[in-house]
Amino acid sequence: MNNGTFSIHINGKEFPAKEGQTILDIAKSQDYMIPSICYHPNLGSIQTCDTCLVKVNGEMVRACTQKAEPEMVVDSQSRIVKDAQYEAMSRILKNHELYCTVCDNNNGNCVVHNTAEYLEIEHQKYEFKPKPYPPDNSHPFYRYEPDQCILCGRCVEACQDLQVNETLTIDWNRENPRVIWDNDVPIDQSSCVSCGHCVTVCPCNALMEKTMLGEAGFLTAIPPRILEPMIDMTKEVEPGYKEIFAISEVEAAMRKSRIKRTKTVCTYCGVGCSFEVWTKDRKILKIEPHEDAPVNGISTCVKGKFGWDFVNSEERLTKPLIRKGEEFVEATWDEALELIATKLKEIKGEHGADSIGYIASSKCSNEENYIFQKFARSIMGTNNIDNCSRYCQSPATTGLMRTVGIGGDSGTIRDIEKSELIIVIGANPAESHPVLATRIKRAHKLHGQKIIVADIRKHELAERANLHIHPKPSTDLVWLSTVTKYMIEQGWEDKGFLHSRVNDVEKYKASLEKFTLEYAEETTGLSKAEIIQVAEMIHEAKSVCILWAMGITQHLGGSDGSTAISNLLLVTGNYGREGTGAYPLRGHNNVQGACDFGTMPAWYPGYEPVQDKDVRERYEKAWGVSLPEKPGMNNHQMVEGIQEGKIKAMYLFGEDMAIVDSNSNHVQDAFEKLAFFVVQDIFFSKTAQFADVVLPAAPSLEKDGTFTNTERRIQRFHKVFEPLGDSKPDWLIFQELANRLGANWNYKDPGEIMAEAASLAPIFAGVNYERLEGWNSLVWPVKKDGKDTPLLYEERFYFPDGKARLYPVEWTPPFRAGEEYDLHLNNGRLLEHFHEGNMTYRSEGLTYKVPSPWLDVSAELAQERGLEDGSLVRLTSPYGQVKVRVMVTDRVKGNEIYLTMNSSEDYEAVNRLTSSYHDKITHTPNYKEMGVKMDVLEEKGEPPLPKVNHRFGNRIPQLSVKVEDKWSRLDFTPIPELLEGEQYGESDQAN
Amino acid sequence: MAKAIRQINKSSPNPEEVQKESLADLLQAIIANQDALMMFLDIVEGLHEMGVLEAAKSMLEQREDIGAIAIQQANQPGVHNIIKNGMTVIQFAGSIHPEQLQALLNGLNLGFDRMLDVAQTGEQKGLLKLASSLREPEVLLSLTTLTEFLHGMGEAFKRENDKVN
Repeated sequence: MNNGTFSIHINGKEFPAKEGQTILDIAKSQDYMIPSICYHPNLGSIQTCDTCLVKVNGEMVRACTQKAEPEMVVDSQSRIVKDAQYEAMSRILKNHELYCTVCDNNNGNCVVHNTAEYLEIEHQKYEFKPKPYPPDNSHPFYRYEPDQCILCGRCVEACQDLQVNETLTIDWNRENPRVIWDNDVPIDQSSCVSCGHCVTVCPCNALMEKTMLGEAGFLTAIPPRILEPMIDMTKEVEPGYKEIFAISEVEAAMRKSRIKRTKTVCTYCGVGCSFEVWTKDRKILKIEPHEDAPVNGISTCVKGKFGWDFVNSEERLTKPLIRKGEEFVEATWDEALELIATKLKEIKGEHGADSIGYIASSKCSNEENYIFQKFARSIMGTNNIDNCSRYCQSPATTGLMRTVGIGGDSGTIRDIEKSELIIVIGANPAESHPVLATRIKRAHKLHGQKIIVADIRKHELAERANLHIHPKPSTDLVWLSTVTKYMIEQGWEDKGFLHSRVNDVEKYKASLEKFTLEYAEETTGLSKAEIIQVAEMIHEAKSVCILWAMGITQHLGGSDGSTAISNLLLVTGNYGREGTGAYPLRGHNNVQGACDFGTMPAWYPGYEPVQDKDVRERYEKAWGVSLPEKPGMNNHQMVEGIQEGKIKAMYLFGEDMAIVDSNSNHVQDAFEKLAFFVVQDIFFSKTAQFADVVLPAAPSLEKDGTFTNTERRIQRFHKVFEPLGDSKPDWLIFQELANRLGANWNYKDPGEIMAEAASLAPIFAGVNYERLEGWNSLVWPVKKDGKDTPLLYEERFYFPDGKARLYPVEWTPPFRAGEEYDLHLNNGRLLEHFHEGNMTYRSEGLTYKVPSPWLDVSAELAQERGLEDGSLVRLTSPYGQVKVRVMVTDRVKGNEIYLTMNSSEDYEAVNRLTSSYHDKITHTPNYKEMGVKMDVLEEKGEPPLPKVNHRFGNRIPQLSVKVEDKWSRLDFTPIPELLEGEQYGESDQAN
Repeated sequence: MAKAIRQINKSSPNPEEVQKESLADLLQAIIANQDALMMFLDIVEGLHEMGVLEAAKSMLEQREDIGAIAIQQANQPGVHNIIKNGMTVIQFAGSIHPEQLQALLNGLNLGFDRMLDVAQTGEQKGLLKLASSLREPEVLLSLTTLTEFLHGMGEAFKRENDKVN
């Protein structure tokens, strides 16, 4: 045995093994077939199917649980083992009718089909009997067919212990066990969050996406009155299953030619899930996640799994539009691009290059952001370019650049999984980063990971947390600094780490003086005991990750709050090791990438300053132009610039700034003043209403490219469909426009754009499309030889001397709207809708689950104001008002209210209420600091959240599928026991 | 100065032009495949005259009803037997070893030859001669083979009986 590696023998063949591996793991790692049905690499062993029985030292064991030991001798092929596996499979087929050729799951990857075929099942040993339950078709996205359910428990394991939503169980106590939702309610009325894990892992057709039914197969659309007798007849005349399998295999092979499978990367948040899209012409049959996907494995959330209808929406923009008087008129690309080129040239000539602003998109690809900043800088001659990270994560970037040198997550989702303590501040990952949250929930439930949540709302993670603290809004910097100070006082700082790897330690310690427990108690409203408990939990944990989002960044002191987080991590030595680090959770799929690839006013791609002469010269040489030296305007400054008459025209793509920017009244007012405005989008957005030219773009499913997720991971996505109508990929539009303005660009595909970016920005040196084939990904910085960096700071921090910097910060009290605005307005995203919902509302199912925004109010406030579910209220801030219906909940407390942001209608959009105040460093608006007053308009009304929403469900938490309950059923005989019995009783068989 | 507007004037394509374009495309395809199309039309004409097209059209229109009737007719013991017997015969053919079958067929062949010789010449053997020919090794071998065949068949019948009991 060497470093925990040794070898074992399976059927006389030698296999290399590692300590902790099971026999099944080892066989799988060498592509050696031991049958298994309930085992799934992302779920582990469930022990319900028994098809992996093997013999070890004369004893029958399950290969999925038996850990390998040196020199172990395994037999998976002798007669008795084969008999055992055959018996297991026969028991499964008692619960599953084989009609593969007319089954929509017969796509070559059906586990039950393939295992039955491998085990050479010839006949049904036990008669198939339908279960006494009708199929459950209540849910908009998937169905459960009990008759086909083999009770393997994969779905339950996935729901309980991977997604950890704890909705599914198997009731083993019934005469006919089945999967149940909550306390046995229809799926639609349960706590199911529609994440699709159960459907994805189902090894047969019991749980299926409704979009597959009647669509996937050549014969599966046959009406039931013909289909059922056909199945009966097939069963009647079948000579054995072997011939049936042969036919179904042929049919499965035929399906390959019409079902296209394309890898893509999800566009619904910064987690970066990748999966296959299965399509038939323009119809999406399903999203098929894959265990090899680097971030998510088989995990998805409801939007990633089911939310793609927008691609084929009737509402998609398919032709360029030009404003003529009071209406938009459809135009050709020639007309539109010619008009844009002429106007931009004219305005640039008259008012200078800096009179035009460029807004890039964090929803579009790295290549598109790269080429757009190249367009603004090299063709149009300005650094006035920015993207929407300004609205969310720029303060986090600043906090990290100040202290550790790189504005991105320190590690990957693997570190978050492995960490001993997760601290989540001002973020709601279970709704906004659902798949990332599953890894925390799983580690917490199964592996003893601790969770601290600091949030003014009791969201799902807060409910599950070991400690949930509720500071007064906008005071996080204070308790964070106090915890840091307290830990130093206790001598709990990591002295060795501070000594060898951190600068400015003493200066920083001195700056903490005012953060006493008393001061913190008074400012944050937290008790001393709570603050001390946080400190103790950090002290006791060997590794800590801190995750944060808009609850920290969207404040006047957003950058400083982020800095305080990083300071705490530095003082406790929680950087540069597995399971540690800072994780600002990026909200859009490519916030990270948009910033990385240079759509920022002060940075070239790879965070190299525009003022740096050497850097600038590198780009000037490559692009053959001279480039502007001064940093340009950011989003916020552009809007102010319009008001001041400095900005005359804007070009914006993939961003609904008129809705998502704070104080939207003010922003919309500015847009009205523009002399020329180009908006490029897939839908006719609110912002497009102000445009002079609207260009139809193509979404990710209609083009190639890469996205960079919150982990800094670059992943490729591939074209699934041709662009709808006359729409075009954004990069192609930029190229065509640039060429009209004198460029001579000739990029044939985005791979060539990436090659150029990689040749210029050192942190992407080794990035190329070949290295990103299939499920491969690269986490930047990437060296020329392709070596990437999943975990930062192992050796050095990103400053010239390699040392981190402690950065003293002061607390900035939040904006106060005034006495009369007595309620604190919080706001944010929902699980079911992405942002304001311009894509997700095109899905009938998602809209059915959440039709409108709503306002969470506490029970106390409801009682005080006479509110109930469905009451209509008006909220008024100094900046505007909205009308919205109420839900009474314990998720919020006292006078704190929460307005969901899933609306693009002005009268209910939260940004009618927010102000133009902002973080002083990054100009990120203080979305989370607003006081409002409330008028009750109608006391009674229809509740805005329908009863079929998961929030009304009743979870049934348990560990795994409780296979012990199956084993203790009276009608269950362990297979080894049964076979031994048969061996002694051979004479029975012969009579 | 640009106020927010929602009005979009979709230049809904002129139906006449769309039709013209489609027609032009079609014409081009027809010209390119003139010979094949002409022959196809001849066939169609023939089918039409025979009334086949009309029948096919009705069947297509009523496909679900007809499908249901067809499957009902097919899903009968008689049809099951036909299919099962067919498959049994195929399985039987598949289970015979080609070399053995060849030996058997060679035997048959030679047997026939000698049989026919006798039939042609009309030669008759006396009883004694017949009895003594039973001692010839070739005849003995054939008889032994036949007895073994009877043994085997009996064993299979017995096995079937055991199964039933």
